[in-house]
Amino acid sequence: MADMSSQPRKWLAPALCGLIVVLAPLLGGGYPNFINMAILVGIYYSVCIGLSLIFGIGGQLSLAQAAFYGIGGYTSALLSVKLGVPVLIAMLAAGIVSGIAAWILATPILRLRTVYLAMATLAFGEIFVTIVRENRELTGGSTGIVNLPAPAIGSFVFDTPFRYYFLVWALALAATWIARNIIRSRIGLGLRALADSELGASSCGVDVARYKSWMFTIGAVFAGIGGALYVHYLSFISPDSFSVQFSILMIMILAIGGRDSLLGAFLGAVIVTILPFILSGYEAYGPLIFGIFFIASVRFMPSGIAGVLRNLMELGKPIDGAATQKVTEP
Amino acid sequence: MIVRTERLSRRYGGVTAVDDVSFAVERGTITALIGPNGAGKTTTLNMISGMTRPSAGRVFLSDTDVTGLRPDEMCRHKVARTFQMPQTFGSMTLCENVIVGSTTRGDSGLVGAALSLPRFRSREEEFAVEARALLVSLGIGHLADMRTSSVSFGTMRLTELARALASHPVLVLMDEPASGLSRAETQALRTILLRLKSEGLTILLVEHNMPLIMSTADHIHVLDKGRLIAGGSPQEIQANPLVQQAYLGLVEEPS
Repeated sequence: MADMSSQPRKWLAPALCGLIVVLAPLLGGGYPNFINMAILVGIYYSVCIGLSLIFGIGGQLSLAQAAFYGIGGYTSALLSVKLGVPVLIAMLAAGIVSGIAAWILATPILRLRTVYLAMATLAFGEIFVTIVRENRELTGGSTGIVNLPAPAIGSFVFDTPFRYYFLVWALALAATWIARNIIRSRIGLGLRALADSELGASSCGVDVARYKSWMFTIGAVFAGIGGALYVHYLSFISPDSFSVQFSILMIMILAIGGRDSLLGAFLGAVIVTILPFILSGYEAYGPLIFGIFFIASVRFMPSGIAGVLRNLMELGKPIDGAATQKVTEP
Repeated sequence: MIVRTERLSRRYGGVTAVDDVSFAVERGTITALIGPNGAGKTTTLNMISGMTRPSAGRVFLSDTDVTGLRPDEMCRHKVARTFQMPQTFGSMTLCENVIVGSTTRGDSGLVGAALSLPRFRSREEEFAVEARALLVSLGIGHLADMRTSSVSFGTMRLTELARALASHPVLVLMDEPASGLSRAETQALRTILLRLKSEGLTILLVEHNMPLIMSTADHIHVLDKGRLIAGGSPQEIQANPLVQQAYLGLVEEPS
């Protein structure tokens, strides 16, 4: 954040990202599953951006992401089906409702740390799924709700995968921009600080509880909108999509791709989406291969694939610190 | 008077770590808190900086009652501190560490950060420039972009001090700043402490290094077994039989 990049460079990265999003369907469009996979990558990525703030950078292991994803999905589904709210507005509401749920949950739950936090968030996820299953009149129970409408702007309906792809990725890029701003700000530094030393961070004026609640809430907003995008894409919602397995999948994405960078969330989302397609025919071995991949990532690349790429790029740079450090040591 | 404790006590179960301690730190001075191991020095510091809640008694900051505030709230009241084991952020650069120290200054609202508003961004750049200047003033400017986990222990201590100064404190609490430092580093620390005092900062020091205390402190308070047993100028403390007994008594105890 200290570098004062010149004006043209500032727009380079966003422009490049936008260009890739626009060109990708043209380049990969020949492959029949490409658009569907790209939509899924975009949704997983958006949910993981939120998780990377609280877990990846803030170091707080939350398994509640599936519940916020589900709260978003059900909010949007119910508003659009039962009340006839326009889908895009329902999606926005999905983010807000998830965010409010997270904000309320944050105060009691984020006092916990490590395994205890994981257990409490896991329990929250289970409670959410149970509530959805048992409220049959409202949510349709295990059968769910079918025929969810597609989002539209005026008469332009996002009813083909090609159109939906652009909606998903426009939101994913917006989420990227917001998360990147936060990570680069003093708040982002404060968040990294509390992952290193809560004691040190709080002595610097970082309100640890508030920072955690903020990130938990932003993560839930992203997950909520992601959930809404997912259910309207399938045009169907049921509790099966929002089980704790989904939370674990998101953690796996960050572990494989790299939990401390947005690039990591993206790479992880790509791999987790593509792997089942590559493995088609050997589905039975899927969990085994995923598991090996996961353990190998955690063991050999703690910052994931993004971390490996970063290290490779830094190999080219001179290591100036090692030489100058001696100066302070008499 | 800048900070004053009033009958401060802290009990852990049956153990009384700090027992009825009342003292004051005058503005613009270096005040040292000394005593044998287990005398309750760090606990006293923790109660002033909000890390530990007192079991009884009060803490006043320029006549404002600040008893029981959290550490981040104390930082907002312009009280900063360093730790016996440096609580630096190892995954971050020295410069980033110091920027975190400026958290309580300026607007740190979430919306401004999330939308990267221009006004907000230019303030953030100012803090980065100031952080580098602080590191330079402590003689470690050339290490500003090093990862903090990869620098020497002495540099970590200085980084932590720079971070404390970044909050623009009026009072800095330092817990054994010289422990683990080489002779030359301690010498540099002495110079820094005296310079900070000449710039108007008030420093409350917990320290074991007697030469450092005698050459920097204006006033010394002595704790033993949780109780305040003496207070005065360095010369008075050196001559005080009670103090000698407390220290000598410790030496004679079989370990």
